[in-house]
Amino acid sequence: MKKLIVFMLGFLLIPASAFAVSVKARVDKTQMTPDDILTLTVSISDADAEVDTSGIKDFRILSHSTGSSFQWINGKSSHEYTHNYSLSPLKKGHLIIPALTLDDKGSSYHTEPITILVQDSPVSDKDSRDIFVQARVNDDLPYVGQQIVYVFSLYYGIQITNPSLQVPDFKDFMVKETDKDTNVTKLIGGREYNVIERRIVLVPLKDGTVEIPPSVLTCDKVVKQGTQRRDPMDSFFGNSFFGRSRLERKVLRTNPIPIRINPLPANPHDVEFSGLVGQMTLSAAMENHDIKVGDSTTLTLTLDGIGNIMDVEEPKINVPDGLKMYRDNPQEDVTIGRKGYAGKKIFRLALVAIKDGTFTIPPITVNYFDVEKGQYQILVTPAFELDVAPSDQSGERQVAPLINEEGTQDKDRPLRIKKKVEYTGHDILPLKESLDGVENRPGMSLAMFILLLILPALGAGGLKAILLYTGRGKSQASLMVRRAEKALKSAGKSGTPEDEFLSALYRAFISMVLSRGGMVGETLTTAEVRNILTKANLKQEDIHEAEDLLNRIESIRFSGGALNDATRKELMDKTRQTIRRIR
Amino acid sequence: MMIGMRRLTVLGMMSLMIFVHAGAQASEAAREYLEGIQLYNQGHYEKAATLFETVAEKGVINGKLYYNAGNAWFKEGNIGRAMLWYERALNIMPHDPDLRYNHDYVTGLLKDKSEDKTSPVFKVLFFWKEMLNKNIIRWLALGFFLIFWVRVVIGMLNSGRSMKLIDWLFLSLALVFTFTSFNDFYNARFNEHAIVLVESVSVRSGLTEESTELFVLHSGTRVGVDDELRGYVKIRFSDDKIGWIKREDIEII
Repeated sequence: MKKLIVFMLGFLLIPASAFAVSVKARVDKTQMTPDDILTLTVSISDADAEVDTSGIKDFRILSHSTGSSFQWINGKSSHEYTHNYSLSPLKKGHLIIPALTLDDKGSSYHTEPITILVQDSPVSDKDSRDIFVQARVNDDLPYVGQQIVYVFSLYYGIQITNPSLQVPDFKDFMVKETDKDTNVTKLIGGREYNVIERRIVLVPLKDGTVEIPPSVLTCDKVVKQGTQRRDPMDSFFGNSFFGRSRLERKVLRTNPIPIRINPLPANPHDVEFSGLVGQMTLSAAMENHDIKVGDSTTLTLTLDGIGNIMDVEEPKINVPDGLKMYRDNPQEDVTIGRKGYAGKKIFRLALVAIKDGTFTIPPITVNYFDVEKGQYQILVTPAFELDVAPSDQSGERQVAPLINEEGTQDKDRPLRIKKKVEYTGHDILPLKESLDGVENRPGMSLAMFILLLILPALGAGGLKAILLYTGRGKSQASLMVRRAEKALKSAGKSGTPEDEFLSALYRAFISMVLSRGGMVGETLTTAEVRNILTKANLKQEDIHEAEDLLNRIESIRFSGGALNDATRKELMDKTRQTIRRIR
Repeated sequence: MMIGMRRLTVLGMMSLMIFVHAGAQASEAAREYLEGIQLYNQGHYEKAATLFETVAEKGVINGKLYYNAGNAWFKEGNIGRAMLWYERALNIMPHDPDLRYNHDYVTGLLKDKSEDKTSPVFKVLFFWKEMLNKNIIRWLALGFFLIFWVRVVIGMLNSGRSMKLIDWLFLSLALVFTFTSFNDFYNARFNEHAIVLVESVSVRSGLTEESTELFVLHSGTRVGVDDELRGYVKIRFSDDKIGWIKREDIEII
């Protein structure tokens, strides 16, 4: 029951905390002349409280208006009620708007008091502090190698445009990186400013006193023309686009910053200095303490802290014989903070057992310079024991590397390293001991080459001679083929008379048909052509075409009809085509 | 008949004597070769190299033998003779991986940087010279010619048909490889190369020791041999580096 009551009370408290009331008072200027009008805005969130202005004695309240706004941010709603007062100063000097009291449902809330300087002379731009710049470092007594942060801040309570920043060249420092600009709102002396900050990490390179020169900001200030009265529509119509404002060029400089850089003292330890300057911690963990030969375990070293952590090299690790070490790419998780870069660097090392036994990985040490303590510190990990049992597999086992080709670890696979194979020693390769090394292998001589080259030619020539000598039918066929080719060539010559052309075509055709029959002769009838080509196993359609061609040539040849160029060409092509098929 | 039988007997005996002599020579070469290997493995490199050279002087032409001689001379510390035998082996088995490795390794130890300006265009155009060894090119030439002539014969027997595109292709390939082979024969006969054997040698402008020293070559460097006169050899290291050195300072590959 008690638990239930506590729970219910807790539940009821949630809205109270979620909708906590906050009050704020701000002015549009902190310096003015007696003729100026000051605008005081009191805002209260999530409560519509009455403002007690009876405490304002140094100003006369000219007017009072109220407004409200509703916001929904990150799933939370909020109401803000504002009270705007136009105030006229009653005297000169440092006037005070006292802490104002707001009452809401029995609760009282108070604003902060605001001081306003009222004087006769017109307020200069610088004094008005509508816009100003600042530069600072987080540590003006750093050590060599220690990261410090240079912060440039631009404060503006009015509308500005075309800002341009020139930071110094920081010649005595190594500039590590420029972070993204941040943009926040700050309340200073009761006035609300937009603040843009740029952070630059600097690493002093040598000891001594140096001065960071000023940063220079140039921008255009938007000056409203006409009434100073704040109007809700000002934000829209009161800009230069509609011609009711003008731009004033402003050049703002920060103050130079003197810095005294201390040298690093001599390293009093035996352990070599790692080059780390900052504040660090070192932790180590081993994935598995019992493995078998050929298996691996991962040793993880984590350096965590503030400083030049990204520059740190892998600490020296003495791996005993019997283990092989493969390195993964170091993992960095470093961000810029108020004191420079902070984060961690993780070294993962795969240890592969290549023989059984118990192995001890001795403590790993890192010597760094602690900037807070101003002295060198030794970080030490514990020693790790690794028990390696014999492999399940008999015989020698190939040790599988454990990091993949890119040097990164896959989640679903064991780590695997693949490295380019490099020569580790140089020597010539050994003798060739086979007995064929004494066999004489002179290779082909020129005479033998020429002989072998001409032998086939001689053979072909001899065969040709035999064929010619014996006068076998095959040579008659070749004779007729040559005659056909010759006749066709003769027919193809330009300027050949018509009768000679037709005669040559006829001779070419008949000779080719006769060659297929292994015969010689001068003329053939259509029936004889059919007979020869049929015996030569020609296709029927080719035989028909051959018959048609013969009839056509004979018809033109004996009819004496004139041949025009087109018909002559067509007949020539047809004869060539038919002869090719017969062949 | 009797005379014929007698002639046959004499011929048979002569053949047997030649065979026995050749066999004895072969067995002696084999013994020396094996002994050379044994000496090499025992670390007696100079003796091993001398034995390998002795076998080679008996007329044995074998890339492995030359390779072994090169190895032995290298181990003995004589880079000049090692390069000489590696170069000789490369003429026989240019694509042997062990040989190429050892040759490249020893080349890397030479003091003189090669100024071989063989155009890469030439290497691309005559790519088969780089890819194939000389014997294979010769056999390819013979093979393509044989195919060509066989097809010619078939054509003759087959109604005397004329040559087709494929016949021209075989003929072209046969001619290309034949030309390459003759080029290789020509280079082997008339385009000699040599290796510098002495530690350092001055290449001079003339055939005397008083002649101007033009440049200096070192052991193992390969040079072209253009001429030989009165105990001096005109060598060509590159197109613009020519001079005379003593004959005994180099050895023809």
